[in-house]
This record gives sequence, structure tokens and C-alpha cells, in this order.
Amino acid sequence: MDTPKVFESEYRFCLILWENEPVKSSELVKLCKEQLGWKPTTTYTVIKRLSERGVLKNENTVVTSLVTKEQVQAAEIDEMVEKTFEGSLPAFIAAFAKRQDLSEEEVEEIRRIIEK
Amino acid sequence: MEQIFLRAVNYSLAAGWLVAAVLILRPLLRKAGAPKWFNCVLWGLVALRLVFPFSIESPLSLVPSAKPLPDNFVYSAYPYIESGITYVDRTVGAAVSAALETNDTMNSVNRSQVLSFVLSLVWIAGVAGMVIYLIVSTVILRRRLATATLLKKDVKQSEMVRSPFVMGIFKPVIYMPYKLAGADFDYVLAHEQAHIDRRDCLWKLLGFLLLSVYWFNPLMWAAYIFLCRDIESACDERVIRGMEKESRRAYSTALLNCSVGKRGMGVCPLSFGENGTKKRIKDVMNYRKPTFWAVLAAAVACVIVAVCFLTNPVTGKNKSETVQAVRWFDCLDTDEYPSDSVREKILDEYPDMTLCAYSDRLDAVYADRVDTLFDGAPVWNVYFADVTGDGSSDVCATISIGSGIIDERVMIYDLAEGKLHELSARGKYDYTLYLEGDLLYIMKRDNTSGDVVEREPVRFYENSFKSIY
Repeated sequence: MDTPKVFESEYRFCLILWENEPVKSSELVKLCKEQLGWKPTTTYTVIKRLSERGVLKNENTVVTSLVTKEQVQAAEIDEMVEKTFEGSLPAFIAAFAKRQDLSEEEVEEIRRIIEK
Repeated sequence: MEQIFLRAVNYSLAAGWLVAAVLILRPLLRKAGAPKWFNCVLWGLVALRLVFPFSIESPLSLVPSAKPLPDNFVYSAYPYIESGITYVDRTVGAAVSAALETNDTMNSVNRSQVLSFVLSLVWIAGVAGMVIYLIVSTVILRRRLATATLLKKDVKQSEMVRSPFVMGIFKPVIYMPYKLAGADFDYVLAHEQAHIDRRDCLWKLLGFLLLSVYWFNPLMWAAYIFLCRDIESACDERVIRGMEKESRRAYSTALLNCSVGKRGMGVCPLSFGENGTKKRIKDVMNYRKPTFWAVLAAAVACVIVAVCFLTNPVTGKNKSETVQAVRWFDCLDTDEYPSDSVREKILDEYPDMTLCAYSDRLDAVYADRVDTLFDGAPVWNVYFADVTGDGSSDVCATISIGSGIIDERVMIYDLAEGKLHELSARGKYDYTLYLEGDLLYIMKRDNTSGDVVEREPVRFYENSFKSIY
């Protein structure tokens, strides 16, 4: 199944969710107000929107995620590779490696991930 | 409502001259290297003119006329205009009269009234449309920005934002896109912060509200568009003041990056990459600290514009306003007709002169001589009012003259100038002065039928009665 689309602002919301889940929606409202500057109605709207999209579920006012952070990140990268690198993963990695100053350690870690 | 509309038209026409002056002055100020915020001051003067209808009169005023459309334009059977420019008066006035005039007086009054009623409805609808647009677009934008996430105090980010902007009058918040790289981000933030410091949101909103009222005047649209540009330029100036050339180059780059993919002109939001990016980048790169002389010249220009265009021309009260009058006597009203007696009166303004009203003439008696101001039989009434607008009272009288055809005519004797003005149309119309409240009116009646053709406040212009009588 495709990971549902999560927009940037929703992603910020999900970061809070992943860190605190399972969490009561009233608690989420409080956290979002503090960290994102959201009004309560905005938080409830986003909860509803994301549950419709299958990103989370809201049962008896307890909110839990249905997708992981890694899934969303992977989907995000897929989209970027598709959009910017015409679907070519090597082109993306080449561009990424050229741009970043990677430490010895990081290069080693990436190699391990790729070889797996 | 028609009267309010008429007023709005008059205000906007008078302010139009100021807008034109500012539009001419802008490139000159730019050439002179004056600080950009002077432009904003000039637009402030325009706003001032539109918000407060100036009643200050000045001989230095360059506004040709404060009231191109007279108050009674709507109801007059013979509408005329007073633009202050004779050529315009003649051509436009003739066109207006031709469009509204018919042989049938009743019909023509109806037609001009209906027309002005319809026009003022259109005007109100336009104002409502503009305000509704403002509210709806703001509500939609706010809804879209509800999910914007807090970055730091008063700065939010949203994927709905393409180019950064400030929104909010009381609690302005900077909205940034998520994807904005390091250096650009700082410059953009500095620019938006400058907007907040300058309270630009408030000025722009005020500008839009004024535009909403005066939407029918194309010059006001020009003013609004240039106001938006000048706000951005002045804001750039505030940020880059004291920057080195290298930083200014980086700032320009940020400007360019944000101008790509911009949307249409927003009302409330002040966006970073909006409005004349090319010119702004040029200005930023060419920025030099304004010289003392440039600042002085700009300040002097502002003062001159203020004096010449914030004030109205000296009109005297005659031109389009009604004339306040003091009654001496009026036999047509309640006073007794003086068959043999003489009425005498000494005006405060002319202590050496005694006015003597006989049944058939009016004399000015001095210690050494007697001047007959006019004669006629009978002298029906005499009022004192400054009809000619020279600051001193004139003698205003209704007299009858004639044998066979007897008519009533109006005589106005200008005491200061020693000149007599007469309004008569023997065999056609009778003219009679009367007082309504403390204002002097002229009633025009058909000589044969006696029907009232028109009732108008006394109006006197360029040394004669207006042709409408």
C-alpha cells in the first residue's frame, strides 16, 4: 500500500504525535498550541483530515499513528526523486553525495545501508 | 445617498489633482536620489486629502475646484459643472446638459434624478464588492494559513506560502515558505521585520479601504498600485541602509528568488517578492546614502505639494456654496409696502452711508452726496448677503419694472465695487429673492403662467449670474 501524502505542516504535527502516541486528542491540542502555535480547531481539523487519509486513527479520543516516521520520509524521498531526478535514484545519490560534506563515518554508514 | 455619492465624486476629483502631482513628482524624486520613504509621505498626503475633506482655503492652492459638481447637480433642471477649468466646464458641461436636458422641465429633473440614483447604487455596489472581496480573501487566506507552524515568535511557516509576507494589523505575523535556503531566509526575514516596524500592513489596508470608496476613479487605482510599490522600495531601503555592496547583491538575489512564481496582487499580505522586482533590484544595487541636499529637496517638495494640493482654492462663498443673508425688509413676506414712508439702514461695514429705501428706488446717502443704487417700482425686498464673495455685504433686492409687461427682477449691488448686477428675462421669467433658513434663494417663475420653474440658492460666478437662471 502507498504511504499517504503528508504535507510539511502536517509532518510537523506527526512529529509530535510519534513522540507522544498513544495520546489523547486534548493533550495533542495542548502540545500543538505550545509547539506549532495552532488553535484547537486547527488541531482537530488536522486530526480529522489525517485520519481520513489513513495516517492516523482516532478512537475514543485517543490518537495513534498508522504510518511510521520512516515510511513518510521514504515516501517524501520517492516523490522528490520522481520530481527532481526523473525517477533516477543514482542521480539523486550522486547529487546528494556531491553536495554534502560527509564524514568518514557517515560514508561508512551509507555504504552499509546500501549493501543491505 | 445621491448627495454622499456626489461628495465622493467631488473629493476624488479634487484628490485626483494631488495624485497626478505625486505621480509626476515620483520619478523626479527618484532622479534626485531622495529617500524612498518620502514617496510614502506623499501618498499619506493623498490619503489625508481623501479622509478629511479640506475646508482650508489657500491662494496657493493648485486644485482648480473643490467641488466640480455643485450640490444641486442632482436636482437642478439645468445641471452644470464647475471644474475650475473653463474649457472643461464648457465642453463637459454642455454634454451633461445635453444629455440631461429636455424641453419638458419636469421630465429633465426626473431623468437626472433617476440617473444619479442609479449611479449612486452602482457606486454603493462597487464599494460593497471591494469590501467583500477584502474580507473573503482574508478569511480564505487565514483558513489556509491555519496549519502554519510556529518557527519562532511571530514567524510561521506554511506550505501554502509561496513568497513570504506579513499579515495582521494588531499582531503581525511573518509567514515564510518551508523551502527557503539559509542566507535568503535571513534577508527575507529582515525585510518582513522592517514591514512590521513600519506598520505597512496598516497603511496598505487604509489604502485599500480608500480605494474601495473611490473605486470609480482610475487615478486612485494608479495611486494604490504605486503605493504598494513605494512601500516595498521604502522597506528595501530600510533594510539595506548601511549594507556593503556584497550584502546588497545577496539581498537582491533573495529578492529575485522570491519573485519567481509570485501570485496576483494580494490585498492585505505584504509579500517580499511583489511589485516591480526589476526596479527594486536596480534601486538596491545603486543605493547611495541620500545627500543632505536630496533630503532637503524632497522635504521642500512635500511641503509644497501639501500647501498646493491639500488646500482648496479661495472661492469666496459664492461659487458653489449657498449664501447666508440678513433680511432688511420683505414686502412679499410680512413687511408692509411703503407707499410714502422711507426705510433707513446703516450697515456696520459702511458707517458713513445710510441706505434709504423708497417705494420706487434705493439710495445710498452720504454726508456730501446721494447715489441712487437702482430704481424700480416697487422695491419688493432687500437682503444683505455677500453674493459676490468679496467679503463684504452686497445689497440684494427684488424689484418690479415695466408697463404693459410687468416683471420681477433681481438686483444685486456690490457696495465694495460700486457695481450693479441684474438678473432679468423680461416677458419670459420672473425672478424673486426669498429667504429659506438664513440662505438666500431665487425663485424663477414663468412670466405668463406664474408657474414656478425653479428654486435655487443664489449663485454668482465670475461676475455674473449663472446661465441657469
